[in-house]
Amino acid sequence: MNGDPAAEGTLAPSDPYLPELMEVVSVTQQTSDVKSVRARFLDPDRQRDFRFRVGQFGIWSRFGAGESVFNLCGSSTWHDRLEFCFRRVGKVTDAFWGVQPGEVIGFRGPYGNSYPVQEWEGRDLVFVAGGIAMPPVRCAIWYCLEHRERFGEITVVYGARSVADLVFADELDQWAAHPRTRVVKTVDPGGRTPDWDGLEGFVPTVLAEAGVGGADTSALVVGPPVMIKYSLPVLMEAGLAPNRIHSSLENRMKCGIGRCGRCNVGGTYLCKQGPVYSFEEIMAMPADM
Amino acid sequence: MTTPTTQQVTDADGAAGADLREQVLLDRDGLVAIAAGWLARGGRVVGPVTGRAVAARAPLGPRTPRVRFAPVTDPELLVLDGFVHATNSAKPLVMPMTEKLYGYRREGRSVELTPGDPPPAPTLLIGARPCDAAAFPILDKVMRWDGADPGYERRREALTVVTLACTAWDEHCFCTSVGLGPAATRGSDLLLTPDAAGGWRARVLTDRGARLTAAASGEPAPAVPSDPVPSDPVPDDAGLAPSGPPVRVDVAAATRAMRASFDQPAWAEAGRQCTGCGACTYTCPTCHCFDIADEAHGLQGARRRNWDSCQFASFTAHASGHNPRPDQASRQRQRLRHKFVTYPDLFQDLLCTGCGNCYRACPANLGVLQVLRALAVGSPSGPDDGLDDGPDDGSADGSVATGDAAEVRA
Repeated sequence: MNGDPAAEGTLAPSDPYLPELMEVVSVTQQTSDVKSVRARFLDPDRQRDFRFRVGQFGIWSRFGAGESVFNLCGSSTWHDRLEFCFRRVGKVTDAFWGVQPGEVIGFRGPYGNSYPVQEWEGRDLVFVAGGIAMPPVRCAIWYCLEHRERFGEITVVYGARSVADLVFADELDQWAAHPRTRVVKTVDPGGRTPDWDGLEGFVPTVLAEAGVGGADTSALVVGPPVMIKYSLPVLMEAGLAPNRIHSSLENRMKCGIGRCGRCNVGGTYLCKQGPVYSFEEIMAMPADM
Repeated sequence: MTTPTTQQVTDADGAAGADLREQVLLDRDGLVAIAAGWLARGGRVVGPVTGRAVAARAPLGPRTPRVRFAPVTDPELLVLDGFVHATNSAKPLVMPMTEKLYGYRREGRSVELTPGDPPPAPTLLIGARPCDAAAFPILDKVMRWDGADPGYERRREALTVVTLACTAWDEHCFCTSVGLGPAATRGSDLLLTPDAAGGWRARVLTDRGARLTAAASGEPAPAVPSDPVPSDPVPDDAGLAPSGPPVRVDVAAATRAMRASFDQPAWAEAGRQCTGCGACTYTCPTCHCFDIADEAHGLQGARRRNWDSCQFASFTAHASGHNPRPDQASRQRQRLRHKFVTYPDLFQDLLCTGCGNCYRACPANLGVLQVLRALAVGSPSGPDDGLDDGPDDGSADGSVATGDAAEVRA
């Protein structure tokens, strides 16, 4: 008979559910209910060697509260840290809200597919984000800016309900300082402050006036459903085929490896075959999202 | 405890000895002795037991003992005939209801991870039905998808399955509609088919099964260096067993309907009936969806994997309040499509063994069989016909068969 009932369990490094430990480097409050976190692996070798692709996500642990899925919102070219951003909205994010530099958190990943950055090479790019959906777009923006010569014109259209709801607002001017890069920022009607130097209007409207498009253009659109619903026709009217427009979808996830059964939409598992899909794929998905 | 009475028999093709098609005669005493020996060596024995002699849900028919799979310390308590199906499934032996994946201890700002549940004792499941045993290789495909799941693997490797072929079934059994049957061998190490003398002919299907019968006959277990867990079906030995329940639904037609259109009238109907209690998923031998949650006690605690259910609103509810499956109709659709479309597309297999536990456990008389029937009626190829030859079948519109007697083969 094999096995010993009295034997202790072990911590197998190959266990897909076992998180790696990371130390929080810094925490930045982005809005009244959004924070971003920089963290690095406790093991310096692991930090140096860790690789991911923009668009992938991690499953982050706040021990005692649980795990949550957050996009890796920094560029994959940054090897000294990982970044994630969250809105305080549930049990785990409530626990993450109090996290302090120096504290140890857990990480599993990277999971999922990634943005088609190679397909984007040589093309004009439009990044469209709404509100808290900026982090999964930000990683792609930084990646493309750090490989600026590989891409054509870059246009970022970012909108939020109000000035106070913009996340990574301090980076918008940094992006705009890059060659052949334009940042169009907007707040919903009524959301401006006296010193607001951006536009006032909904994202689809602003996008339509931004003059982007053409058959050589690709787009990444992430945001609330209503923003996507009205931005998509604008882009298609501007000559973008649905397979040239991508988005990053989200669903509740627990395992990240296609077993826990909750993130699938029809036959596709967002954690494995997603979270990045083209609108050609998204429009073919069943209405289960 | 009686000395085991086993006897080697010669196969039809004349082969005898320790090959995997060896058949051994076994009676209840022999089986109990196998279990006792297993316990004596520190193992765990799990099988059908009954607390009280209560009737199955059919109140007017012949009484069949209501049993559930549970660990036993006295193998004499095992119920080895007369029952149709345990009220629970044997799934907890590989996927326990709750499992400590690992522990954590917080100290200041640091965290230390500690081991999870210890490996299980070698576990002997005696008295699985073929629909219970077949679930293990089905679960294997998910839990081994793109890499192992160490906790699952440890329990799977610790498991030996002794299956009792069925001679009785009720109106909820539909194994023959999903490619299995009353003597299906899939997932079993040893398959026991009743013989005329009141015992069983034991068909040895794996090395594990061979070791069991060798131990029972007092011979040394064959030296087997490796013991791969079988995950492919072994062809049934059709001549050994009764025919099983009639084919109760045209699964192919129901699947065609699901593939033809995401929207089906059957979903709304099932959704109205479903109370969302999750009993179907918890008693299902193949449902495996789980939650991962922290259980904190001050500065230390455990990260646990717990059973979850696609029938719960919380299963998919986003923190924002949005829920992609907002009602029971969409959750019923998810469950049926997972079993008959999504899982088959991934693994070329069905996520259902036709055990009927979903119906037996349902407080609203709903089950996979009923929903499949409703779907088959709406199938692009038209209603299925000529398949529902059982006298106890429900109407084809998704309503249910009323409790009838357990159908016992003469």
